[in-house]
Amino acid sequence: MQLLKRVFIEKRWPITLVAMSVAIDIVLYTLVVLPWSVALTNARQRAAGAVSALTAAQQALAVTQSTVNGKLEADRELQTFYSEILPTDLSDARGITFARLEQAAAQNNLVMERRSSSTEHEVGSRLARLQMTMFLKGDYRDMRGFLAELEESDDFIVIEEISLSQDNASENTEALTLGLATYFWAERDEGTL
Amino acid sequence: MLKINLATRPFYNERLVDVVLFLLGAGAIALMLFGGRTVLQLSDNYDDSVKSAEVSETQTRAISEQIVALNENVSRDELASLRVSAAEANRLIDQRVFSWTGLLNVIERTLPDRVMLTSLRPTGTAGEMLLRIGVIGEHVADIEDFIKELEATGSVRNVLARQEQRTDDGMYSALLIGEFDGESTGPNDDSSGQ
Repeated sequence: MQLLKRVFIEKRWPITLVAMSVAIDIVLYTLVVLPWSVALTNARQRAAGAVSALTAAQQALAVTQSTVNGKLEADRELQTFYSEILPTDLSDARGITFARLEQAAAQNNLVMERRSSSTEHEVGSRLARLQMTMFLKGDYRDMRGFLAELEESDDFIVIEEISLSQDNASENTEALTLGLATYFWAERDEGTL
Repeated sequence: MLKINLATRPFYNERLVDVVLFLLGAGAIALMLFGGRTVLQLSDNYDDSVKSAEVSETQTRAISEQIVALNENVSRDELASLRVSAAEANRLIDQRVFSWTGLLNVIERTLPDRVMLTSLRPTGTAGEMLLRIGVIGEHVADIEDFIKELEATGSVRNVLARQEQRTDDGMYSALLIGEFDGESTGPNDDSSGQ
């Protein structure tokens, strides 16, 4: 113990220098390096979180843009459907059904006995429906021809139902009751969708 | 003559002590330098991370504002209304392009001589088309034959005679319901369609 004390006394300056260096190291690491490490960890976490948030925002933007583009595209297609495919109004709808159907029936040697029509507007729909029932008489093959002509025409006429019955067995004629419909935009004043 | 008491003031290895102190001092200084360098690196990395986070946060804010602006142009009500209109338009187009010629071809190919078609009504959309077929036959067995032939084409599935009754003139009328998958080339295919 005496020897150690003597060493400390004789080497006090070098020992003091070493002790001060160690003390400075302890202070440096506890008060500077460690807090900076913690701060850096937090900054990295914040950066990673910000990148995740950015990625999520970019994905949300892509979805939103896709939705908006899809809506615009659907709007355009619906406007085309309403304005170019469907009759523009009741008058136009009447025009493609009343006159042209009778003409087509006559061209296919069918006799139109009677017909009835009505309009209706379903709740929630922007379209009104012009429904028509035609009662025709004639040969079955001519009826097929008439139906084929309706299918191939450019007019938007939907064949909803057909009913057949034998009209005259000796003349081999049939009676055809045809349920037809066409649609037109009933909310023109509301502008685009 | 050496005038010291070696019992109380013994020799010690002074060089060893110097070496140890030198090593300790050198180690402490090296650690100090390393600590300083670490602090500089940490500081640089911290700045980079904070800058990166700030850039990302700024971009996120800008994108969020863009999303809000886009969403203001598209309300949920508008989208719901658009969906309804699009579904309605698709349904109407399906009805318009429905091939009655194809359906009648299928029925003509399969209708027995003793059975007559009285009504035909398809409902639904493409892929989920339900067919209501009214027929009159001399015997119930004729109607059953028609159902079998119809299903054998592969165009109509799950046909059910929903209602069968004897008419005043001794015939049997029936309302058949089945799922129509579109005209297909079945075993009874006839290219003339008549």
